Amino acid sequence: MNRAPAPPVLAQRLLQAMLPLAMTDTFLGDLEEHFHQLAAQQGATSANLWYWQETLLALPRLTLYLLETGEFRRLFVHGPTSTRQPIWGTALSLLLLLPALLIVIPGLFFNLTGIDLPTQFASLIGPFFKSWIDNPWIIQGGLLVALAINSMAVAKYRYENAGEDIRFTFEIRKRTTNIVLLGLVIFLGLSIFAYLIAENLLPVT
Amino acid sequence: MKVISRTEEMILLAVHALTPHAYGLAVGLHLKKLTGKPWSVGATYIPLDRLERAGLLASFEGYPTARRGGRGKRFYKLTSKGLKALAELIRMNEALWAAGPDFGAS
Repeated sequence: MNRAPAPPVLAQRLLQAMLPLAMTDTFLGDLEEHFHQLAAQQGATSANLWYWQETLLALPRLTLYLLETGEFRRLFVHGPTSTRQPIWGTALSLLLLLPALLIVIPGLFFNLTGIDLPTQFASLIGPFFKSWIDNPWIIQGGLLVALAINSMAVAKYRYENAGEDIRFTFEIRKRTTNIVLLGLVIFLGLSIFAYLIAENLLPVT
Repeated sequence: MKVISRTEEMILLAVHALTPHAYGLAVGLHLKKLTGKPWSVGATYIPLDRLERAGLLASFEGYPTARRGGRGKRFYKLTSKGLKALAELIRMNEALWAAGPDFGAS
């Protein structure tokens, strides 16, 4: 059974992050309407290419327009759309924690098994470990940014600038999933910090 | 009154021609058909929004449809200020062309 073609999700996410709030639904609706027309006439590949072309053409224009209208400020308090989804926020946070995890996991592995992975694979990954340990700000910065991004999945910031009507609202999303995921990232972050300090890999200030 | 750009002038004329069915995609396709040049949705929506903020256009939302992913259309129409802006443009263009080259003579 053939599934009905759908517009590319990544392109939609990019546009959602950059479109002025008042324009988002109608803009994406127009794109989707024409996407389905093209898919029916020329096939899904042509429709996908057209959608991406429209997205890439629109992004620079929208950036300039957001600067012109002052709505660009909302990105800094509202966060890109991806960070408002708890799963994406957590995935991004874990990616930022990766440098620290790649030090902690081999260390724990050594404590449990006595096998020193960095030494075993020194020629391959040794220099990377060394550069992270020599530059602890990478790990500290990664942890802080990870927590900030993940907090956006739980705390909902909203800044609306529609003409003269400027509103700023803040609310906590009480969904259990969001709170559990944020708790997981905080726990993981603090555990990594504690381990690195215990192993004297991070300077205590 | 601020002089509107050529693109904004074309958008205003397209909205006037398509009213009461003037929404972003229709305006872009109409201009593409008449000018023979590609019109991206972004290139249509930003002037539409700018003209609405300037009070030359007014808009209202239509019902959401499944074909648009559950999103509605935003229909535009000229305001009296928009009509005056177009009339002013005609007057300015006529004054400028009166002193311009006469292509019809040769």
